[in-house]
Amino acid sequence: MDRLTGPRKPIAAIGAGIWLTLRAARGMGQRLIAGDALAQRQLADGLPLHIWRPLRTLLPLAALAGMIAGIGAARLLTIYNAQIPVLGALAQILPRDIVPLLVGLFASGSVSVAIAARLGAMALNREIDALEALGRDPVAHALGPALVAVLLSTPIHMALAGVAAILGCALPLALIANVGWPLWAGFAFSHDAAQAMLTGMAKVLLYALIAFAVGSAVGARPVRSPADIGRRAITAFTAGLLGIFAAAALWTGLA
Amino acid sequence: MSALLAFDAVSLVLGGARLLDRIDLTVGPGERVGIVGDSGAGKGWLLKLAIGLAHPGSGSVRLMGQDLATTDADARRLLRARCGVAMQGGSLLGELSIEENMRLAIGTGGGRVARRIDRLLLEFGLEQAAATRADRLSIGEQRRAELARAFMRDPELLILDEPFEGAFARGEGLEAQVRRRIVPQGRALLLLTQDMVLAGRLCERLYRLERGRLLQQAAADTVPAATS
Repeated sequence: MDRLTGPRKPIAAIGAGIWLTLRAARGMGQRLIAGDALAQRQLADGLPLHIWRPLRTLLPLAALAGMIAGIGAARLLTIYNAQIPVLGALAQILPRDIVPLLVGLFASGSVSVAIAARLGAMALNREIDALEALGRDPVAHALGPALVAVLLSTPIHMALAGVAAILGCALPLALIANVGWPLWAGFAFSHDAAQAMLTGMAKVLLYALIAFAVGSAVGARPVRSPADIGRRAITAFTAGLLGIFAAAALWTGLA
Repeated sequence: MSALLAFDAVSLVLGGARLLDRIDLTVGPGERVGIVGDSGAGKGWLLKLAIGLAHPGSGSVRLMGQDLATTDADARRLLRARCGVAMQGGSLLGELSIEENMRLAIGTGGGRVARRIDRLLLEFGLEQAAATRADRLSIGEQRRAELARAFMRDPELLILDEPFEGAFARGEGLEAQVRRRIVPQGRALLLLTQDMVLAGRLCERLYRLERGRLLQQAAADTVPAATS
């Protein structure tokens, strides 16, 4: 892949990312079906790393994003006093567009970087060669548990970040536009908002898969020194951002 | 009987330098072959070529009778799983415990696998370290764990690259342990080392790797009575 130039390079990288993701899914499935105790232990280790630890940062971020959106909406309400369209639009835009993009950004910063760095470190420590020498599929071993943990984290991150954003939004709405919690909650937890939340979850799933595929493709490139690991992590982050924003733009454009 | 490992006119060029030049080598069942070479002579690449982790520029490598160039990745892994490999510098997975590293070599299994792991750890003096993460062990302990792991699957062929490097304090005992697990059980061995004396003690057939070519050395003494 390193020898390719021009448009063939990103195409090869996308292909590699998709191939690695599918192979990780298949390999992890086989390991779990076979009752591989090591796979279960790796998954148990991966869950806190990919699910619970990011929440410490993600939830305040979502609350702050909700607060910013809430301030904008509250200022609009003080001018136009059009509560139904403004609050209705806010209750849908938050879980459908703003929170998924935030979680996607976070996924790019954590998942793709973590995976690219882990693969680089494993290659440098000859752990990839060791797995191959033992007759093990390194993709299933190194990426499988992380993929399952990332997929499990998606709905949890989206749901909790969505709630945090709604709560963050409530404060400026109450302080600036005098919109009480019962009124805002009526919009935020409506049927339409729930549908928007489901759309948001689908988006976050796609973004997480993009982050995972980018991290895998970048991390699988040859590493010659520890400094390469840092460079790969930066590449994974920026390429992940690009991929997630491109997918978001495409989704919004086609929806 | 067909050779377990066969190099046929294998050449490897890296960075414009010819590292290996038309290497011919066969290791049959029960044979113990030593390749002695200086640092950077290409012994590590011989190991990688032997188990299909690298591909030769020309020539062919057959492992367990299968041409590695024509087998797919999954088939190559199955072939490798029939070998016991110890790489120079160690190749344990640092974040796994020693027991998990051992289990990695054999996959799933219940009590029988656990007993086998316990026995091997005991033989290699690692019974206290079973639950310790590999990256928290000393170099010597890591080396012993890697050698113990190489025997997990009852391999037909052992490929050991500097197997006792770093295990100086217990080197002799470790060598005797490895010998006991290879010679009486009729396992084949490809030993890659800089130590001609060690290779002479463990192997029946010796080669020197020099400027990319294998030069056969005088026949080593057969393994002494300590092995019986």
